[in-house]
Amino acid sequence: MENNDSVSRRSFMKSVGAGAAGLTIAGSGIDSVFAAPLANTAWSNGMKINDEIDNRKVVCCTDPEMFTNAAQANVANTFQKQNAAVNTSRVEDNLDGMAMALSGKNNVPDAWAAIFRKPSGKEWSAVKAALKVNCIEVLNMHRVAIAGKICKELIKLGVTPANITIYDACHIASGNDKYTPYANGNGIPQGVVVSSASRGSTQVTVGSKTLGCTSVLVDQSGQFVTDILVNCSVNKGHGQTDKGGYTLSMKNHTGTFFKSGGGNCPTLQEMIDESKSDAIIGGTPPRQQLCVVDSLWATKGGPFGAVSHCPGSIAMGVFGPAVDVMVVRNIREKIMGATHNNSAIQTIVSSYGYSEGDFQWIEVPPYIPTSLGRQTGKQQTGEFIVVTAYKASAPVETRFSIPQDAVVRAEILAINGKVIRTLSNTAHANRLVWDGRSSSGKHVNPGIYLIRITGVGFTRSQQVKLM
Amino acid sequence: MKNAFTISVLAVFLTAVSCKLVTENEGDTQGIRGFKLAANEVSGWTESSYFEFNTSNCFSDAGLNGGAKDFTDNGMIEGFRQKMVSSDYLADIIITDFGSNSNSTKMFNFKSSTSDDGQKVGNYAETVAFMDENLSGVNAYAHFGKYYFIVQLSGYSIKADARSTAASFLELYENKTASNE
Repeated sequence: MENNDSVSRRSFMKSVGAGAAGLTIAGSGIDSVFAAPLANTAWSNGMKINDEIDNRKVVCCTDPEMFTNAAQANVANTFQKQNAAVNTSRVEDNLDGMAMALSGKNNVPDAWAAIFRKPSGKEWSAVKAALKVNCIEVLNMHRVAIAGKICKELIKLGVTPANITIYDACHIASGNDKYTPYANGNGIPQGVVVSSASRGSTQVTVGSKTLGCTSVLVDQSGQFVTDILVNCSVNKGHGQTDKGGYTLSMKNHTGTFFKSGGGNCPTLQEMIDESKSDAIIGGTPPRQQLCVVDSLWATKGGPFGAVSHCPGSIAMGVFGPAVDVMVVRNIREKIMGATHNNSAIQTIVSSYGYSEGDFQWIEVPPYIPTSLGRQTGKQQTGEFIVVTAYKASAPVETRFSIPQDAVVRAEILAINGKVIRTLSNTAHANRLVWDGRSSSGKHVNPGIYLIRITGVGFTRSQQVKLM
Repeated sequence: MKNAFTISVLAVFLTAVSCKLVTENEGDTQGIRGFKLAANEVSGWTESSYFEFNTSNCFSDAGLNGGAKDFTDNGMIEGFRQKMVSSDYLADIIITDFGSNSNSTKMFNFKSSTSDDGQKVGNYAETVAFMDENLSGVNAYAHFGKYYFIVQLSGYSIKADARSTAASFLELYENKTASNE
C-alpha cells in the first residue's frame, strides 16, 4: 500500500475505449477487423502496442556469461547474492542485442528509440516513465542490472532521471526485512526515483470494476501521468492455478491496482482486465511499451520461496500476454519442468483475439558489440556423463556437452513428464549415477525415461531406455 | 439463597477466567509462539528477522504474496515467518496454526499434490512430511497436530547437508508440538 493514501474516495476516472472502427488487411494469423472496444478497456482486437514491432514477437537471450561465476550463481539465494553474481556489462550487451532483434533495427540507438516512444509534441525531458517491479519477495526479485539498463536507455533518449520511477521497489512492512535492491549509484542511475508505491487509492475503471491505482500512474484528479511504462517481472510459479499457475508480466500488475478483500489477488478475468485497462495500455502511444521477464533465476513453485532454477535467460516483447505465454512454454515448461493450467492460458490468449500459435519465440544469441557488428559469444565446453546402473552388470552412459566446470542438476522424468528422481552434483564433478530407482527408493519399471540436466544458463535432455 | 448461588457461580467463573488470563499472560512460549527458535536452539543458527501474521496481513506484510490465499483458503488462523542464518546458509521458516489437525492436513495435502518431485525427509512418512529441492537447498513441508511447517534452506553447495539439516529442524518442531497444543 502507498504510504500517503487517503482513506476517502477520490473521483472516478472512466476509461475511454480506444480503438477505431475499420477494416485492416493483416498478415496471417491476426484478426483483420478492429473490434469495437468494450467499455472500460483500452484494448481492441488487432491493436498494435507499437506500430513498428509485432505484438506476437518475443525475444529471449540465454547466456551463462551473464553470471560472473557459475558456482556463485548456483548458491545465490538472496537478492544481494544474486545481484552480486550478475555480470552487468554482459546483461546490458545482451539487452542491446535483444532490442535490435525485437525492433528489427541494425544498431542499438535506433533499436531502443523504436521500442520507447513519447507522446507527439512532448519533449523527452518532460516525459514520465515508470518501471513496475515487485519487491514483495526478497528471494527472487528483478535483477538490478536489467532495471538499471532500462533506466539508462530512457535517459539516453532524453528522459530526465527524476522523471523515472521504479515502483513497488521497496518492501516496507514493519517487522519484515526492510529493503530495496535498487539504489542510486548502485546499478540505478543517479536521480531515478525508487519508490515503495504500489496499488493506491485513486479509483480507475478496470473492466467492470473500479480499483485503486498507484499514484505513479494516476494523480489524485484521475489524470494519467506516466507516458512510458516498463513491466519488469521475474519468473515465478503461483499456487493459484486459476490464473495459469505462474506470475509474470500480467500478474505483476497486482501491485499496480488495489482490490479490497480476497487477499488482493485478482481473478483471472480481473487480471485480464487490468492488462487491458487504460491505466496500462491507454495513452497515445500506449503506456506499457515493454515487458521484460528476468529469468536469470526462477522459481518453479511460488510465488514465495527460494529460487529453484538458474535458466540464465532474459525474455522481452512489447505485448505482455505474448511474453508470458512464450516464457511459460519455452522456459518454465521446457527447461524448468513446470506444469500450468492450459485452459487459463487459452482464455487469456483468446481474450486478446489471438491463438497461441500466433506468438513467435526468437532465441537471440549473446551479443558482443564490436566495430564489426554482432558476434556470437563462445564458451568452453566440457562433457558430463549420467550413468544409469539399472542393471549393475550393464551400466549405460549418457553423455552431455555442457559449459566447462558447470554444476548441474539431473532429473529423471517418466514418459509422461513427471519427475521421478532428482540427482545433483557438487562443483567440479562431471559424472552422476542413477541407480534406476525413483525418489521413493523403488526400482522403476523398464521403459523409456528422459534424463534432463540443468545448469546455470542451459538445459540438456536425452532419453535412456531401461530393459 | 438464590443471590448467594449466583454470586458463587460468578466467583467460580471469574476465577476460571482470571486463571486463563494468567496462563495467557505467561504465554510467550505457548501456542504458535512456542515454535519461535532462539539463537543456537538449532546449533549455529541465529535469527535475522521475525514477523507474526494473521489472515489480514499475511498477503504483503509477511511476504507470502498471492500465496497467502492458499493458506487462508485452507483455514489458517495465524502464523509467523522467521528467517535464520548460519554462515552463508539461510533458513526461511513459516509456521502456521490451522486450528485443527484436519485443516493442517488439508493444507499439507494441497501442497503435496502440487509438488511433482517430492522426496522423503528424515524418517518421516510422506503423509507427514516431504521435501523438494530448490536451487541451493531444500524446501521441507510438514504438519504436526494443528500446525503446518515450511522450512526452506538455501545457500548450500552440497544438497545432502541441506537435507539433513531440514530433518533436524522438523524433528525439533515435532518435539515442540506436543508442548504447544
